[in-house]
Amino acid sequence: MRRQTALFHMSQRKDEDGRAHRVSRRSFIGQTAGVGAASLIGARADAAGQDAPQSQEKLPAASPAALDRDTGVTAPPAAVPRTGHVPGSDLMVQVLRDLGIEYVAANPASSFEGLHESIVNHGDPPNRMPELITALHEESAVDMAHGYAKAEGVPMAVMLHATVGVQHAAMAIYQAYQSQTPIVIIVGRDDQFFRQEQTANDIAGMVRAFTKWDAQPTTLEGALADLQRAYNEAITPPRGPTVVVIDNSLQKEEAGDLQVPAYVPPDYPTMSRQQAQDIASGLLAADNPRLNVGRLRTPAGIAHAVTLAEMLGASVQSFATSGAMSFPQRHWLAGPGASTEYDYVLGLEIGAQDVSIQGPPLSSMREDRDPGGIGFGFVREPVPGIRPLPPSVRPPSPAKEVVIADAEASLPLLLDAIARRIDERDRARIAQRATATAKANAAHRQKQLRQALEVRRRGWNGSPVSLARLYAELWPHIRDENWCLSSPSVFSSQHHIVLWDHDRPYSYLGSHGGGGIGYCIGASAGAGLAARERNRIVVNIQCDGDLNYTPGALWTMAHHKLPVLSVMHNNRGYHQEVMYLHYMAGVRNRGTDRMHIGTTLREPHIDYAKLAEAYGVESEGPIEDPAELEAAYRRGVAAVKAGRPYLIDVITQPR
Amino acid sequence: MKQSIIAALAIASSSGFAQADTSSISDGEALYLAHGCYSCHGYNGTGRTPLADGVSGITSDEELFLRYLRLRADQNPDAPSNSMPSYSEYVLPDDDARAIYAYVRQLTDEPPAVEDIDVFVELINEAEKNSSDPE
Ligand code: HEC
Ligand SMILES: Cc1ncc(C[n+]2csc(CCOP(=O)(O)OP(=O)(O)O)c2C)c(N)n1
Ligand SMILES: [Mg+2]
Repeated sequence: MRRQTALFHMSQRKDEDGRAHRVSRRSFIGQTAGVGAASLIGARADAAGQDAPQSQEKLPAASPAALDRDTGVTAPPAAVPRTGHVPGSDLMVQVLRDLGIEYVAANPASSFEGLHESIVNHGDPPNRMPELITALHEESAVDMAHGYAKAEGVPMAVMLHATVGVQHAAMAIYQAYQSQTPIVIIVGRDDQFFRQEQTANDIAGMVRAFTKWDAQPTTLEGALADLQRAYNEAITPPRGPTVVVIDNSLQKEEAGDLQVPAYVPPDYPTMSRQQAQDIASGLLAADNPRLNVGRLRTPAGIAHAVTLAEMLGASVQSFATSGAMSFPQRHWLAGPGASTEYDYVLGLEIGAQDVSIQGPPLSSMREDRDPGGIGFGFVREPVPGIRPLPPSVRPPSPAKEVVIADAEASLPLLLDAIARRIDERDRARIAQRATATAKANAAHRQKQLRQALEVRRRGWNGSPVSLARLYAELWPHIRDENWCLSSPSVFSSQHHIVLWDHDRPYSYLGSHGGGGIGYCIGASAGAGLAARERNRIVVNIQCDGDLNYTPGALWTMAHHKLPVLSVMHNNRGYHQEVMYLHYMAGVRNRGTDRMHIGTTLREPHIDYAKLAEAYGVESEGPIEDPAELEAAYRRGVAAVKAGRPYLIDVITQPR
Repeated sequence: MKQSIIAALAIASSSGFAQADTSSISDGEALYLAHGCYSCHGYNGTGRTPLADGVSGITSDEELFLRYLRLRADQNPDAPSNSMPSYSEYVLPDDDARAIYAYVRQLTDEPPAVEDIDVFVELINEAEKNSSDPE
């Protein structure tokens, strides 16, 4: 006889350590046939004053412990004493933990059920470092990892289900590749027990041309080593997503005495001591040296760049408003300096007039990774007069000298070379220069700000809401918070650049990577993961078109309590395409009044506040009157500071 | 470049300033929306390239405005572009264009002064406070 025909539907909330502390709802379906489950339901339902199950039998009451266990009030026992049984996937979890991987985002699937089970059950506490993050679409899972890695400089992991999961994730992987962002992707594979359509000999082959490295280990030992290698490949330049395809059989294999291999961090390519000395001499000899600081890898790299600039009193071009991990935008040395006649310009991960230190470009991997010659991003010759090729295709820089090395890893050598060379005369000169640079930069900022504000007051009281006002009025609410702007701002006119201060490594996470729309909401959830336990809040200026690809990421924000404030840039359409199509119609000269067809999201309007609510995210709007923004922002920031995602729908000007 | 286009058109234009009546203004609004002017110039003429408050020299004269609309605006018609499209008489007859003109002419913005926007004043104060203090 089946022991239990009672089914429970309950929702429970668990602490991070796995303890449940609330059972809010349960119901009972079916007939009771056995003793245990049925009895406890009776006892529980009576106690709660709910309907008792329709059982005729008088059953003995359950013990409190059994009652708790069966209603899910307690965590499962921390360790199941099954001596001698260590599934291979437990060791995989150990590898991820040793690597410091905080999160694994996944949409669940049988091809990685072994690893999934280990993540949530193995370790003390279980489901922590890494924690399993529920993604409602594989594209979201990878976008989350993309946003997370941009904010933190290190990867999180993603699990994808075989052929189908990888295909859902493909565009997001492509964008992480184009933006050189590290992600460790684990692909589950099941050759034996599951549908044939979902397996393939070479699953990683589908994304090989736009990932940095992949492996399909055949032994458990190999799988552990490959996970470590995948991590190292992902974080060394050119950085990018890496893939390990792991058969379910390896996840389930008995590990026995197998030990997790010791992790060896990667070597980063650095410049030579001689090169460091030459650059140091150049910088010290210059009257007006300058640094161009592109995207470094981690906050440690930024700290070194700041030290370098301060040692030299050099003015700095920051790229903190183009993406993460650059020089603080409002540092007193950031700006054009007292004179724009620079006599020695050093670029760090970006072009510069004299010397540029840059990691190897993506194109250096083309031959290895794309034997089929798909040629992503490499197919086009420049068209004169038309926009330039993407940066990954352009030659590294127009510098006189390009040092192919990791700038972040090379900076200590350069700092050391300068420290050895600098003398008292240099120091006096530099102190003077620093003062002049700071003064000039401050004056520049004031002038630039005044001009910018003059333009940005335009349409201030208009409805729909002006994007300048949308950004400007948010600033006082976040200025004193530890904030991160997760959304690409190219479609919302980038007002943050001049109105906000981007002084943290993650102040602005930059663009999609490959211009693929749909990235923003997932990446914002990933930025939320990075923020959640770091006393940080995330601001997401969310385009309406973008939200509709994977809105399920809203649920992930609600479920995992991610502190993300989404403010809709709701122009009710795919506005970029509205503009293109109008232009096209003008060129073709046959009607310019039907360009809303296929480009706008009207009739009906989409109610984003309701959409958010449906996914469990607090929300308000649509706001059409700009006077209502201020109070909405106050509510929104209060919610995210308390760890609750919030969405404000704002009807905006098109751009 | 733009200046020279404006100058050339101004010379060519026969001037003449039609009085707009209210019906052409409301027609003009519908046409402004239907032909997508809103999409680059904003719903109230306060967008990317503003038109409200008479800030555009092109809208100072009806004939000039009409001629401007008829121009091929960009050098490369093959490339996707956010530039000003060209509106021939065929797609936007003179009468419709005149209605749009009437509508655009009366668009007002009149935003508050920078000094009257609190957050702007705070930004300016902040920038002045941080002035040249290396430490
Ligand atoms: C796809 C975007 C787009 C659309 C649609 C569009 N414009 Fe423009 N328009 C522009 C741009 C960009 C400029 C600025 C061109 C320049 O600076 O040379 C411009 C300039 C103008 C100007 C001159 C502004 C000045 O600086 O003096 C006028 C007037 C104008 N447009 C009217 C219209 C009208 C009327 C419509 C609809 C029938 C329209 N535009 C549709 C993009 C657009
Ligand atoms: C995956 C993908 N599909 C389509 C496009 C083409 N596309 C470029 S911009 C854009 C409109 C995006 O709309 P929205 O996110 O609302 O931004 P808006 O332009 O309206 O400000 C589209 C569809 C794309 N870049 N990527
Ligand atoms: Mg839109």
